Amino acid sequence: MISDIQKFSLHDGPGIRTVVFLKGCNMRCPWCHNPESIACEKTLEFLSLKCISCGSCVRVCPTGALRIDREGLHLDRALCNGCGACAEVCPTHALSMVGRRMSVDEVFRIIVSDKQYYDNSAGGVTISGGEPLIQPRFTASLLQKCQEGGIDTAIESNLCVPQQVLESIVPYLDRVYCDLKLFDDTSHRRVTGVSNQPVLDNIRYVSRLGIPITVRTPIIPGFTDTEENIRSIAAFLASMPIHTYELLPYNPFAAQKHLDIGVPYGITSDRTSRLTMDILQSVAASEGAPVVVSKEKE
Amino acid sequence: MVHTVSMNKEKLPYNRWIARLREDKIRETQKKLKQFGYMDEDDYNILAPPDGYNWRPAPNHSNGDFHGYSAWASNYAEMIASFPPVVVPYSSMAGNTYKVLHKFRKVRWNPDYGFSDYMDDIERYDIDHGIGQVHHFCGDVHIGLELGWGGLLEKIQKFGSRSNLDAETREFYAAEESLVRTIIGWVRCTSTEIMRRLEQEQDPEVKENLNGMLLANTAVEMNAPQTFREACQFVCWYNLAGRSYNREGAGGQLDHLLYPYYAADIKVGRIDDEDAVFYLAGVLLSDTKYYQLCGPGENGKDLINRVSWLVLEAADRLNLTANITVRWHDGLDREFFKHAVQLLFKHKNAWPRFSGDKSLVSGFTSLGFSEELARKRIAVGCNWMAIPGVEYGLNDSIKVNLAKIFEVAFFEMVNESSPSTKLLWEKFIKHLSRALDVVFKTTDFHLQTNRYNSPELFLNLFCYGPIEKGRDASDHSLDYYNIAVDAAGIAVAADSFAAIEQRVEKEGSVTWIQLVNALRCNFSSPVAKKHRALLQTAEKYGQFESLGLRWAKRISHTFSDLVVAGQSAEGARFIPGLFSWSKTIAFGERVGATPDGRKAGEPINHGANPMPKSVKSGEMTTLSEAIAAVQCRRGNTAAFQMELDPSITESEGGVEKVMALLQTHFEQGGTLVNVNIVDADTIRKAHANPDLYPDLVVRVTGFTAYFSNLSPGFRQLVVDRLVEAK
Repeated sequence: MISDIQKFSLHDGPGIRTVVFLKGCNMRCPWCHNPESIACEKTLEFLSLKCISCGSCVRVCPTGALRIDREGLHLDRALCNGCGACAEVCPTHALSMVGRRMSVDEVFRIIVSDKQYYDNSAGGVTISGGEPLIQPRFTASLLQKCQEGGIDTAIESNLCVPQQVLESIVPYLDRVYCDLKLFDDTSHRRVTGVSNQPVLDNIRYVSRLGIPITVRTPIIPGFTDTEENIRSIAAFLASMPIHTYELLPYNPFAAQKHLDIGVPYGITSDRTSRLTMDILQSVAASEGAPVVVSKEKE
Repeated sequence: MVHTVSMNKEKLPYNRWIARLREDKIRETQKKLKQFGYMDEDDYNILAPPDGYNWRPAPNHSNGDFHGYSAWASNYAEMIASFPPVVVPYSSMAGNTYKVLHKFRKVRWNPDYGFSDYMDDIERYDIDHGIGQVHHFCGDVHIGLELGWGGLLEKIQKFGSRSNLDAETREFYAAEESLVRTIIGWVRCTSTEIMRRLEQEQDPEVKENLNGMLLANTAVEMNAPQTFREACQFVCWYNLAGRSYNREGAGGQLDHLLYPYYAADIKVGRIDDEDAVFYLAGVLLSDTKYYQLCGPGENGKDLINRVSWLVLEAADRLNLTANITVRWHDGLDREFFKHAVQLLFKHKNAWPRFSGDKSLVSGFTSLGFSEELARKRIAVGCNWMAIPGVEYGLNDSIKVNLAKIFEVAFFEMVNESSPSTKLLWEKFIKHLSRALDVVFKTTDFHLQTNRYNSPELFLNLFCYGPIEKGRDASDHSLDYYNIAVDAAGIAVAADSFAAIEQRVEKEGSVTWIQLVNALRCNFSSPVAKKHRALLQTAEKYGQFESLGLRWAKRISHTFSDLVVAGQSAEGARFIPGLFSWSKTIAFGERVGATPDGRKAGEPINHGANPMPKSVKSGEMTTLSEAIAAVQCRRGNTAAFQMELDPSITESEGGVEKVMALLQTHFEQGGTLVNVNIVDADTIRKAHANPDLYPDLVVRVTGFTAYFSNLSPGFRQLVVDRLVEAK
């Protein structure tokens, strides 16, 4: 299940890349920037600005989840059964179902159409999500096809899967980007819903294999932005040959996305300050990690 | 070759002076804005005339206008005499101009030569025809650099003194002689002004500069330039004279033109790179001419030389508008290519731009021309290529509005019993062919009669043939008459075909009657709004493997074939391209609502680009592939207007990514890329308060312009394009 394919991505690995966003994630980070990719099944997205209140959706909705009044269209997600009938008739795509089933060949055809750009820029493909490793067979087949086609491959993953899952993927990987949010396992379980033990084990595993790995920590106010957290992660990473440790400043752009798919957004803070980033960078550097602050915003 | 410019010697304060010239230019632009109002075209770097300036040309026709050789020559002489000479003591180059003679004209054609037979179709199809269009081909500055103004005068006298010349030819030579004498007088008058300024000047450094300026300017009053500074000064006069005559704006291969002078001066130690940069800054300030840098020479080897780097260095230090095109090909020096993109990133002022040698050459040779000739065809205009001195083109002059053709075809079809895209296509081809036939015939008419209207007295001097044969460039005196015919509105037409095929024929979600009703009410009724939404969300040109792309390719390639097959009684050849210049608003105003969901009067798409909002945000590769796919492939361009979000400049390896994007576009058949890198918030703020952003430069179409000088409607278009890129 694919949620999106983004061509000409400039920030998900070297060169010009195509990013394939798979649907479904095994973590529940409250700040998630791709909340439409969390659920494994299709998700109804409602972009109210696109709605012209034509009423087509109301007429086909089998559960009465949609109604129109003077203020426009209202969607009651409690009544919605996710059948997608409304999205099919919506003329403006204000209502749309995020997620479509695509075969490896279908996705590859889109990826390979930009091969010349990858070749001229040392770019390639990045499989992201959601979490690409919870669709391991698809991910492995797609990466294998890309690699056989001479396309540089990368994944953006939380690596929170059993090692044997990762073992089926790594033969086809040229580089790995891994999110490590919290070092303390209790905090990690509380915030993301799962343990970070597989993440730590798999970071060690990938680095041992010599595959270039970049580890990223999104600096989320009130969650991951403590010196203790960054120091612990940096110390852990300093003990192995990782490529880069990136700190990603937070911004609140994802709030609207959560609203569009009816998922509560758990962050109330504004952007991470430059000062905070500088302090955390120096903390990580003092532990010997090859740290950089990303210009991209988490 | 390293591109750093040496600064190890005690020099005049060039950088301070360049900075001051930049400030002067920004102030002058604002002054012009207040004096003349908005202008949706290039700024040309001409000056605002002094207060009280009121010269007007003398008419020689009852319509109050002037036509023909003598009237153009005499009015030009009087106009130039009305200009106070311009000397800026801290500039490297002397001279500037205030007015363009061509712009004084009330109408663009001599009514004694009527073409009313064509007017019905011209209006019906909203054709921008070629009758009365001027310049838009390229002189060869080499001719002037070799002869100087004095040599040009002798050449005119030599050919004009032949016996048995008819009255028309004698008038031609007399007008040419008058023009050259006018220019010589202008240069001399400016020398006198330099002397006057020298006498007054107290600052020893400025005095030294004025002395150098005087020497160079005096040297080129009559003689061919010998030094680099003299050659630059001659190029400035070439620029100013051509611009003030009829807005002529094609520069040439500047690095190649000036290198011999540079190399000779360097060899004898007359100048160093700092001097050269200062002189080149003066050339760039004299006019916003289109110059090409690099590209393969006749033998295929790149023409890059030290002057190529120094031109970029001068533009870098000035940081104003610059119409510099770097020609990309396999042999382009990669460091130079990188430096050019770095400058785009550094200033975000939309220069340089890039042309693609591969497709331009293969397209032109497909018409039977040699590769050597194709390589001489360089980027010297908004969207156009020309071979300096030998090719007449009417480039960027003739435009066929495909949106209008579609509208005519559509409403003719819906009156028939069984509408279909098949029938619509047949109608579209029928009307397109008819419109093109008008283009071909009106071009012939222009070539037969334009010399009686607006002769090319200036460019005739710098072409091979006119002076020798005693005939205007528009009158068969050049080697090649390759007339450019551009299509505008390809996305409106393609998306309309696609929307009908998808929503009406395949899905049936909109019926033919509903479509016609929606168009007739301009999507104003509630039901029409819904149908508009369906039409708008059909597969558009610019999207990956879309119906719109398929239709765009079909339209472009059919248009191309029809243009190439065009017949001319005057021996011209027609070459297709896709371009709308700054007429996206004007063309759109004259087309009603279209089946792609565009409302009546809204702008058409820009050049070869899809309609705004068609392409998923940021998907440059898909956009690039689409524009490469719709190229006409005959040696003229379908420019890619590339709007990039400034975040790319912060992306790791951003320069290399843009280089790869440009390279791949050219490898896939692209011909010309104009790049804007402007922050969406900045452009919004500048739109709201243009006065606060006097130095914000954007590439509007092929030309760069000061954003604050554009009309609000045009600014909005630019805002829409740039904001979409975010």
